[in-house]
Amino acid sequence: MYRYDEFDHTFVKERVGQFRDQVRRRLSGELTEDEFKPLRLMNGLYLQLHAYMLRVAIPYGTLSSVQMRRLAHIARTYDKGYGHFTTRQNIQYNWPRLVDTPDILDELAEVEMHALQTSGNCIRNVTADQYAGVAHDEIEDPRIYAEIIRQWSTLHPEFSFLPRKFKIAVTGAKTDRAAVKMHDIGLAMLRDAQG
Amino acid sequence: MTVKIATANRLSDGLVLYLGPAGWIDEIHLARRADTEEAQSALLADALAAVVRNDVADAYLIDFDLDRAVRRRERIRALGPTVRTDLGYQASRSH
Repeated sequence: MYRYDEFDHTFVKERVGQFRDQVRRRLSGELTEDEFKPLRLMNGLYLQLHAYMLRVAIPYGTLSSVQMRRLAHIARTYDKGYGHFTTRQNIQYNWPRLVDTPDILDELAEVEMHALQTSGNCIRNVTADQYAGVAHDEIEDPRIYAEIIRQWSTLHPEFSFLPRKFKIAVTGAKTDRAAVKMHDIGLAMLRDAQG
Repeated sequence: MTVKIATANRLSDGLVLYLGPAGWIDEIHLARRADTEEAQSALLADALAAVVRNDVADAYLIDFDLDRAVRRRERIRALGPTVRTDLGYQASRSH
């Protein structure tokens, strides 16, 4: 699975700090809801029918046991003891408090997770075959290419505030477990005549 | 004239609230009711003032009939998710 390097750790930690300050300014009234909305959406936070909802990315559908335990800890500590796994390799918490979301993102960053690009009109978290790396019908591991696209799209000024959300999936296998045809761009690896 | 009440989400935790006679409450059947144009304008003005004070977000008026919201969306919003009735608002409320 993808492991953070020093740059990733620093970047995610700085984003949490930036969002903590944005939440503080929203609660103090320095930011209106209209001003805050695009900022919270950049960090996976919606205001929905019943409460806030935080959508957390699970990079390429793979979780370590440490990450899974942290997700459960967050559900117990900051939510109602459960979350919803989604079709695009995220988990959604449906009852987080706005004031707690920076702490939740801090807890996620400690185990190399985040909520970046999980909402808003940007290039969303890139998804891949959840069996990448171990699939018997795989030509190449799609996660390398998915991560290159992710690194290219994160904070890309041209694609951070699009008219609508934009989704990309990558598969390296014959069986399309990444549902590439359901995406705005679906990339499927093929072998040519020379193999 | 249709009776209206004011609703919003609490800023700090996003929970659904209704404007009562003396502030924001979570019981829809105790919400302040407005059945004239003037009363509805005053109700909306009070709700929007709370948005400016950052007590709540996204305040608006909804139609209210007898003891519940008219629109299904607002009934679900008042009760909680239809898929986990043991964890939504309905788990701890009679309405």
